[in-house]
Amino acid sequence: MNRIGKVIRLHLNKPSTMFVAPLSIVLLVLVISALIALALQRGGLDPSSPGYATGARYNSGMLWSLPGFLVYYGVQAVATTFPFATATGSTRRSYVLGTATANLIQSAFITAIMLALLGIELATGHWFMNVYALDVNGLGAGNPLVLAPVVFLGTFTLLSIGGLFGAIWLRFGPKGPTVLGLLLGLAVALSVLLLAPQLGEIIPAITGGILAGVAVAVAAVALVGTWLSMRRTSVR
Amino acid sequence: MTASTQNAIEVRSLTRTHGSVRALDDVTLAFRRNTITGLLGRNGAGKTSLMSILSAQDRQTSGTVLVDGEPPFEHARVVERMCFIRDNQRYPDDYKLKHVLRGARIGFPEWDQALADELVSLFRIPEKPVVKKFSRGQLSALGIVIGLASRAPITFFDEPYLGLDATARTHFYDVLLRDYAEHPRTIVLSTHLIDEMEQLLERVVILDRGRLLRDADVDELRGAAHQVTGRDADVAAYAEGRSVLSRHRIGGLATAVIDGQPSAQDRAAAAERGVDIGSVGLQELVAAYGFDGADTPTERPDADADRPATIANGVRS
Repeated sequence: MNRIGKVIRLHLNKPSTMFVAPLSIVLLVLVISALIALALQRGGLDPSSPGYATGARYNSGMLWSLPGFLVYYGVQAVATTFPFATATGSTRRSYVLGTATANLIQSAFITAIMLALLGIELATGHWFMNVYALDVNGLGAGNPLVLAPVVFLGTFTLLSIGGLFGAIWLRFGPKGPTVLGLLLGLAVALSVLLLAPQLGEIIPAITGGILAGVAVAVAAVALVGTWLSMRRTSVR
Repeated sequence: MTASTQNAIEVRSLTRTHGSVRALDDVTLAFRRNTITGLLGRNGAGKTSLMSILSAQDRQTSGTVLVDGEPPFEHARVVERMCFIRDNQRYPDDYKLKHVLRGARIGFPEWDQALADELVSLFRIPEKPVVKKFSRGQLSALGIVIGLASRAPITFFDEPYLGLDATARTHFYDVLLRDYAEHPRTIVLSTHLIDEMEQLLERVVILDRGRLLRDADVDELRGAAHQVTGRDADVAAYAEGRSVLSRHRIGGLATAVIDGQPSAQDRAAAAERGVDIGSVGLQELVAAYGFDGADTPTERPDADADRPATIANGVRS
């Protein structure tokens, strides 16, 4: 555990990237959401109208604000931190386990931020100016019991996917992530093609539980793939 | 003390291939505990490959590696006693000096922060820029800081002087010797600056094309060859039947490095042919091994063919 703890501490070594960067992104999206909402209201949209809240809850800015950063962070946590960790006495096994644990910590942190901001948003009547940034459909429409698992599992899954791409790069060089990306894209396209006739029945049947299960499965596959790639990889 | 306790690292029949290239080819040797060993040889000799495998950053294709009696690969108890900063070491994105030092401190229980601070000051390593923006010399200096301040029981340095100015290299040699005297440990360092670093080394391992050429004490190697100088024909006559490591010809004169200490018989043969016998330094010896017994290229192989006839005949038109 001490060896895994060292890897976790190494990931926590630069809090400005691990914690401050996602917090800044979330706050920036909040400000932009507020500016857009105010602009719409000044343009004549009435916040007291019955359809305003329904429309505002389709704001998906917060939902899409972090994935790019999280995948990048997952990639660099493996691709550039791993050589330094091995140079300073870590094994591959400790590194993969420590990195997964650090990803859980980061997921919990981002979930806590989102929950706190949702609480403020609801308590202040949507920031005193009818701004819907976290009380949105993609994050549970104001339900913290939906937001928490969506953000936590989503963050952890994206970090794990990034880690897989980083591990593939370490093992197979620059062509590895390209081939993996093409294969994944092909797999998704083929799945859609095969299931197209049933999509009308499948999509309405998707529940939060199923989505959570898919996220857990994807994260698990990414972690196993990361370990399989890294367990024999050479440090470069 | 038994051989296994005397040796920190033992390597048997070690081979590492990359496709059809044999980076290491059936290498068997040992690194003595609490000794500074120089790893010498030409570029591509297999020095970095060997250190990578010893430090568990890479895995051998075949053969056995034992560090403190255990295979190092994925062996946490062994790996955490070693430090290997590569000459092209990668650091996490956006790391500055303070992050690197803090990260290294996490990894090494014997980390000496006072020594790290002293070295940072001696090498004038800047604090503000991200490490990715460091110059070649600053990166080397940072690697030296980590390697020395780690106080890892087994420390590898991979050409640690790259890009360092003469003052910084002197600081490195002085602090290495001082700290090694106070805290003896096993140090393996690869270098091409043999003359400059010879004073640091107690043992030397020479590799060429992945194969082990020599594994010996420095003093033993200093007398491992001799050189003869004289007229080309006389040197060629002396070299006949002897193991020539390299031959350097210019004009009608030649110098040959011959394997082995000169015997009384050799001295007599040299005197008879009118060639001078001299000693060979470590750097000359390593360079000679690199020539594979061939002549040094003092002339282009096709020089006569390319030269205009008037110049070739010694008359400038």
